[in-house]
Amino acid sequence: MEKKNKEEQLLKSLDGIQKAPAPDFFYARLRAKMEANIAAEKPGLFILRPAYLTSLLGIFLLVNIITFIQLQQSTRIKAVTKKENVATIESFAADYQLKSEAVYE
Amino acid sequence: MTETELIRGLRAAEEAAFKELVNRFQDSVYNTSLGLIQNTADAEDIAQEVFIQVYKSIHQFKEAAQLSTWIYRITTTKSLDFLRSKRRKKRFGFIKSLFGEDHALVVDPEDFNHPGILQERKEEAAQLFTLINQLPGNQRAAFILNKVEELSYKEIAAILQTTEASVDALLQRAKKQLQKKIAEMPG
Repeated sequence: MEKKNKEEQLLKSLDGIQKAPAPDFFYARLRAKMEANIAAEKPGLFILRPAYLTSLLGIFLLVNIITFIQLQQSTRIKAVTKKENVATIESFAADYQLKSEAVYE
Repeated sequence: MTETELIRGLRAAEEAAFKELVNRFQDSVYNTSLGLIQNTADAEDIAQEVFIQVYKSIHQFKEAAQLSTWIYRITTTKSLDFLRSKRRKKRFGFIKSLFGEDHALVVDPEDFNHPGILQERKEEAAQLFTLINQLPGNQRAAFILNKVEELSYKEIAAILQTTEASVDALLQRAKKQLQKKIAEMPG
């Protein structure tokens, strides 16, 4: 019986409820927020947003890494080519029974 | 200002029209949001977001429905989205706390006291709001729109884009859930 009473009391507790009025100066604060949003969306300033700065940094790092890798590969190829070239000159000298110094004269 | 004049003024971005809109609906928007979110600061934030959304989207408003219906719909959607987002942050914060990171959990306030409740019913109302907090989104929305905003089934159906029969079913389920939770309460 008591439980039933409690249930009724709780469910009826919102009866006669008055609407909560919006806080004082609601409109003024709303307008201030809208002005702040407009200022934040100004063209040119978007580049200063963290998301954009982070993306730019990421792209910058990526380009640097790719350039570095390509540079490394390019250096390796040059080293191999030079080695092959030297071998070619020596083998040429050997083929024609030349002294290798003579080739450079 | 008639509703048609108000809409025309809003579409022309007239300050006077916007001020009139806010004056006309700020209490309904805030009260609905407060009933759903149960926090005054968050309810004010959401109420502001509602008016900003109305301002931005007024050109998309189809005048088949009433302006008030549309505004209530935006308020309900934004309030429920806020609650879902808050729940996600709470779960995430709990997981982070397990790994020793210093993230404070989102703490739900103990008791919510709606300013419009009669003095002699404040304690019971606070208990009821705690239970309403546990209802699923659609039941919660229907219950608050009916009990706190005192809207009719027809108005609620238009806001929730459903039928009056569905609203009735939602309210019946909400009531059953609340009765069950009251029965489980100690004391």
